[in-house]
Parts: sequence; C-alpha cells; structure tokens
Amino acid sequence: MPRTALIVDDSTSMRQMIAHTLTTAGYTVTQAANGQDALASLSKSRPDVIITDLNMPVMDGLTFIKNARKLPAAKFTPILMLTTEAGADRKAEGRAAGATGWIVKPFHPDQLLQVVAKVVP
Amino acid sequence: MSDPFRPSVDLSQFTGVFLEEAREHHEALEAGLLRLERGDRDPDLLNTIFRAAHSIKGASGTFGFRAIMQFTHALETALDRVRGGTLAVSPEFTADLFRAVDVLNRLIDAASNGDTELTTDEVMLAQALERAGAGQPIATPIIAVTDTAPAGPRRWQLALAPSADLFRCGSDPLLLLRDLGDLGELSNVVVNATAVPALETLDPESCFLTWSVELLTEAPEAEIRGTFLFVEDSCSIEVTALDAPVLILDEAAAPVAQSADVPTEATTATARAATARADTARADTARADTARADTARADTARADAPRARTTESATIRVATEKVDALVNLVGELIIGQAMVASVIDRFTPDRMEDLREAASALDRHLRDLQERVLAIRMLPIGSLFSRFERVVRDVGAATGKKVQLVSVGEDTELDKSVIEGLADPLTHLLRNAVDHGIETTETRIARGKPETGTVTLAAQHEAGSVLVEISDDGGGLNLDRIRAKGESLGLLRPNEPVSDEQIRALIFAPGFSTASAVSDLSGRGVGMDVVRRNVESLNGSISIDSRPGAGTTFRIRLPLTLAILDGMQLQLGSQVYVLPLLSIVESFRLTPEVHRPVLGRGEVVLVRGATLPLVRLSAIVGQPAGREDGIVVVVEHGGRQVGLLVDDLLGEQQVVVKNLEAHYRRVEGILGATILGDGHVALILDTDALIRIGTASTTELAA
Repeated sequence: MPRTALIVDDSTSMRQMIAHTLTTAGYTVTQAANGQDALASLSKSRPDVIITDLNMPVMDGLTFIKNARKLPAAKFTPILMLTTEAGADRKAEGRAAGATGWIVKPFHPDQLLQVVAKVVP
Repeated sequence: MSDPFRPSVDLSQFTGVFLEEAREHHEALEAGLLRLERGDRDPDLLNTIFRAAHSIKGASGTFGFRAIMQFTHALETALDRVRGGTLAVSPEFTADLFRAVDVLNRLIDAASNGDTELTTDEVMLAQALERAGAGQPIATPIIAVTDTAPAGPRRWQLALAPSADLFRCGSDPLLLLRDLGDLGELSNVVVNATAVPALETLDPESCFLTWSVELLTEAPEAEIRGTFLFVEDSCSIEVTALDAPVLILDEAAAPVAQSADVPTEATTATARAATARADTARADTARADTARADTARADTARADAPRARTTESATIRVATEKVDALVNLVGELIIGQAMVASVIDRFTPDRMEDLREAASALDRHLRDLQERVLAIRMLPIGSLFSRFERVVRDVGAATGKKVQLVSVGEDTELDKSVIEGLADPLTHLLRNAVDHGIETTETRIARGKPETGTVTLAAQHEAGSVLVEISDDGGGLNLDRIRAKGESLGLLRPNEPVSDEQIRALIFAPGFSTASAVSDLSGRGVGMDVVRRNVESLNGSISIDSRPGAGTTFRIRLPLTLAILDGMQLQLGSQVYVLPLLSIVESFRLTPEVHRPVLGRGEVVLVRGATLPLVRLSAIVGQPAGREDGIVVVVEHGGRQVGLLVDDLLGEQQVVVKNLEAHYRRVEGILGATILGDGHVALILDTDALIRIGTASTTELAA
C-alpha cells in the first residue's frame, strides 16, 4: 500500500511543490490550507507523515500539532514543521507542541525527501 | 549522505502559482501599510502584514528567487520589530515601507522571467530596513565548515537515552538506529530495559528504554550527530570515538557496551556527560545547518535560472467547496438523465407526467450548474478596490490634498475578466477625482467643507448587473467651462439649447480635456473617451451626475459576466438576431411621419425632434428587405445613437455568447453567436459596429 502524507500550508505553491515531490516518491498526498482543515482531514484518514507550515491563518501550525496529538489518527504520527528558522526557541516550541522534526525553508525537494525518510518507518 | 530516491523535481512548474500568490501577498502588504499609515495598530493587522512578507520570503527561496527572498527577509525583519513593539512607525519609516512594497512589485514582475538581481538602491533600502529599530548591528551569519575529511573508518561508541515523551512526538528510536546503520556497520547493540516499570504501572506511550551501540563508519562526528538532529534537545546522546584519545568519560561509558546487566551508575554518568557536551553539539549543528541551507539556495537558483518560464497562463483560484458542489451537481445530472432515460425506455402515453417531471428536475439541476459554473469566475471586487487606496494616497500626496478613500460593497462579486478590465478606467477616474474633483485644502476650508476630501468607491448588485460608483465631495463639474470647450471643439453650436446632462456627456468626447493646464497626474494621455471605451468594451455603460459645490459621481453599470449576455431577440424575415439589451435605448414602430429619406445619404428617423440615422438590419446582414412598417430599435454606443430597422421584437432572453471566430471567422457587425432554446443558431449583433456602419452611410442632421 502506498504511504500517505498530509500537507498543511496556506501557500498553494509550497503545498503543490511538496505534494509533487512526495507523489514522485510514491506517496498519496492530502492537502489542507490551514490547521483547522487539516484536523478535519485527520478525522477521515490516518497519514503516515504530516508536514505542516507554522505561520498560517485560521489555525497556526503549533496549535494544529497540539490538537493533532490528541487525535487517535495522529497520536504517534511523525509531524514535520516547516519553518524559516530553527533556533533553539523555535525547536523547543515545536517539541512542546509535539512536533517530530523540522524542515528549514527554503529547502530543495531532495532535502525534503531526506528529512521525511528520517522520520517515516 | 546519498538518498535512495532522488527525483529531479522541476521547480519551475510552480513559478506561476508562486507569483500569483506573491502578488496576493503584495496586495495585502500594501493594503495593510495604508491602514498602518492611518494610525491603525491592531495586532491582527500587524500580524497580517508580517505574515504577507513572511510567506513571500518562505516560498521565494524554495523556488529559487533569491532577490525576492533577500529583500523580503529585510522587510520581514523590520515588520517583526514593528509587531514586537520595538520599532515605532514614523512617517520616514512608512515611506521606506511603501518604497519596499514598490520594490517588491518590481521584483515579482521581473521574476516571471527568472531570478533577478537587486539594484544598488534596493540593496540600500533592504539594509536600511534591517537596521531600522535594531539594537545593535546585525551580525552576518558565519558560514563555517566544521567537518574535516576523515582518514578512514573509525569506531564510535554511542549511548542514547531518549526522553519519555519520544513516542508522543512521533519519533521512533528504531528509526534512529536504522539511520545510524545507514552510516556504517552497527555492532554491540544493547538495550537497557532496567527503567521499565512493573506492568501495572507501565505507561505504554512512554519510552523507558536506553540503547548503547558501536558504529564503524567513515562518516565524521557531525554526520553521526546529524542522525539525532530532531531529538538532540530532548534526548541525551553520547558520541565518543573508541579508537582515538578522547575524554576520560569513555572509560565510564565502555562497560555499558560490554555488560548486558548495565550498571546504573555508568548510565547516569553517560547521561551527565552527554548533557555537558550537548551545547557544543548544538552549536556545531547550527553552523552546519546554515552552511547546508546556503548551498541548497545556490543549487536551487542555478538549477532554475535557465528553465524559468517567461509565459504565465492566467489561472483562477477556486475554493474547494465550489468545486465539490459542481461534482455533486454533475452527479445529480447523471441521476436525472438516467431517470429520463428510464421513463423513455418504458414509455406509455399515461407516463407523460413522469417524463415532464423528470425533465423539469433535469432542467433545475442544469440551471443550478450553470449558475455555479459561472460563479467560479466570480471574484469580489474588493480585490480591485484595495489597490486603489495607494492611488488615492499617492495622488493626494502629489497634489498636497488631504483625501481619504471610502470603499463600499467590496464583497460584490463580478466576473474575473470584468474586474481586470475595470482596473484602468477606475484608476483614471480616481486620479481625476482627487486631482480635479477635490478642491485644495484652502478652498475647502473657505467653503466650510471638511478639510479632508472623501472619494467613495461603491459597488452593488442591481437587477442582474453591477453598479460601480466613483464619487467625490469636491467642487463638481464646471458646466460653463465644459460648454465653452465643447463649442470651441465644434461639438456644440454656440447657444444651442442642450440639457445639463448633454453638457456633462461632452467630457467623454475624444480629445476633450477641461483642465487648462494638463495635469501631470491625471493627464497621462488617457482621456475620458478612453475610459468610456474601456467600460463599453466590457458591455457596460457610464454616466455622470454632478452638483456644483457638492461633488461628482460617475456611475458604471456592468454585466455580471461576459460569457452570458442579456439580449433582445429581433426578427428579420425568418432569422432571429440578438442585440445586447444594455445598448437599447427605446423602440417604436416605423411610420411614414417619422421616416425621411436623405438624398444620396440613406435615410433618417425623427425621434422627439432629433434626427437619427436609420440602419436597415437587412442591408447589413445581406438579407432581403423586411417590412416597411417594422420596428425601429434605438441603440446607443460611445455616445452615438442610430435607429435599427427590424421586422419585430421577440422578447428578452439571456444568451450564452459563443465566439464566432473559433467556429467560423470574424464577421463585421457580428459579436458572436448563440444557440436558442429551439436549437437554432442566432447571431449576436455588435452595437459598436452597427453604429459605425450607420453613421458612415448617413449624415447626422439636426431637426
């Protein structure tokens, strides 16, 4: 069965790029434009990995991660956050919310796949 | 580190979406700055502005637009300080922000041809933004290479003690071991389960295990530590070289690897050691990150520059719900069609009622579908309005007038192409309103008006069309001056009795301009005649209302969409034609009393004392002449009217415009074609062309 990924980003271009990259690597991809939509999606499916932007309207990434960890579908799922900086504060925030890891923007599609491979069994 | 799958993703395919998005963020930034300049300090506003810059920055780097990324980084830095309250918004700073928004606009435009370079001025502006409100000079990131080439495979001892919440963060220690295994050869993998509590008190979601392993690898220490990048802050990780003189603590760690029982004291010692070294490790990793990111940026830029596309196809972003609704409706249609088919299959005359019902259900769904498909092209006009705040601000600043723009009805939806076509005429009207409409501050004070002039931009739906009004509370049109100018241009005879409305309409005449000194701002070589032509090319109409001393209002009436037209069906012989309803002024039956032939110049018709050229539709479309007592339809376009003689009017009908050129060829006087309810094709007449033909063959005469 193909692996599945949930991509959460308000930027259509970023979302499409990540979706395209993961699809090329054999993933089936679901997209959401903000945390709220992503949570709704988690009530219907159990992705193998979640990639989420942090700065989003409606529901930001950290709030989304916190809420997702409360759902059975995403309790132990690897969640990667997209961030423009990975300073100690940002990492601590992410970890406190329940993020598995992070990808620093800007990134190349190949880097994305490397990081995803790191957290997906 | 090599990767098993390395697809060469062509990033240039996302350029179009990225640029579209960047333009939206740019608009949001500009709109936000205007509010900021007016003193608005709403935290939501500051966040929105910041997010706009932040989003552009994040994506631009990924898609290889370095110049945009560098510049928005500076902008974001400054905006973050505003948001954090450490940078006050002074007029000078606001001016810099507006300049920055303009630079961004240039960069986004230039980006459709690939990555570009910042000019010297732009670099200086970026530096000024980065410096603004900074406590101390910004340190430039140090890019350092921390790894030295390894001499050969080395043996390492690793101790890993994850935090209890490891699983709850979606991590898995087995994955860490797997990644370590990818680096080289693992041996002596020992699990320490002594910390696991008794089953009745065990929390299965927590991690109580620790590991120790030996690794033989050529990878440098930084790469080994890189395996733990995501867990280094929450786990204690000990990496020590076994075949080199290292820390004394190695002796304490060594027994962990050899003994299956694992003395607890040794583990604690290891953990302490790991903590002691964590700082060093973090610093190394951070530097390595920076270096890696920079290399990646350079790679991305190189890879994309030659492939960047110059063409950008027009796209439209549609909410998922709208698409879902369409899919649902198509489902309904299929069911409806199946129902009709099943009734027909077993049809008996007494089932006529069933058939009628099935057909009417199908009809309902089709109408619904039509409405929703058209709705996809509908955008709120607010997306257009927001960019005018800047126009009003700039013209106000250039003329030294205090002006505010009030927008009403931003939610009013209009066809995307109509909105795009409105941008130019509205810009011109707004410039005019500020430049010519609003009086100078002194005049306003002298007249007892508020110091700040108001320009209002309002949109609303009205009877199947959209009404856009641009009004100012300025001095109003000077009818005497317009009249004088009109007479000097020969548009009006001296002392010719005309209504105020007719005088106002003169400003739409080609070559007409009342400003004695053509203003730099509103002039720009575009007259009101062009404004009217623009509006009419959208199948719209424009009119003016003005009261001396109280202001001027321009009213633009537009169809909701260009794909559907409100038409009047006309009959000529056995053929049906469609005329755009908006162009029809009135109609009446042709009688000998109002019909006058003009020797050698065709014929005219008298309408309340005025004379209009009479155009026979039959002559234009090459059909045999129709009835002599037919209907004259008075049509107007570009301020000129003609009477069009047809046999009969059949009634109003919304028609879907089909492009004739795509199926046949361009025909003078024909706008397109449509398919009528009975399956016949009807030609849609082009009013503009009809009037050109009409006025060329006849002369306009006064009564």
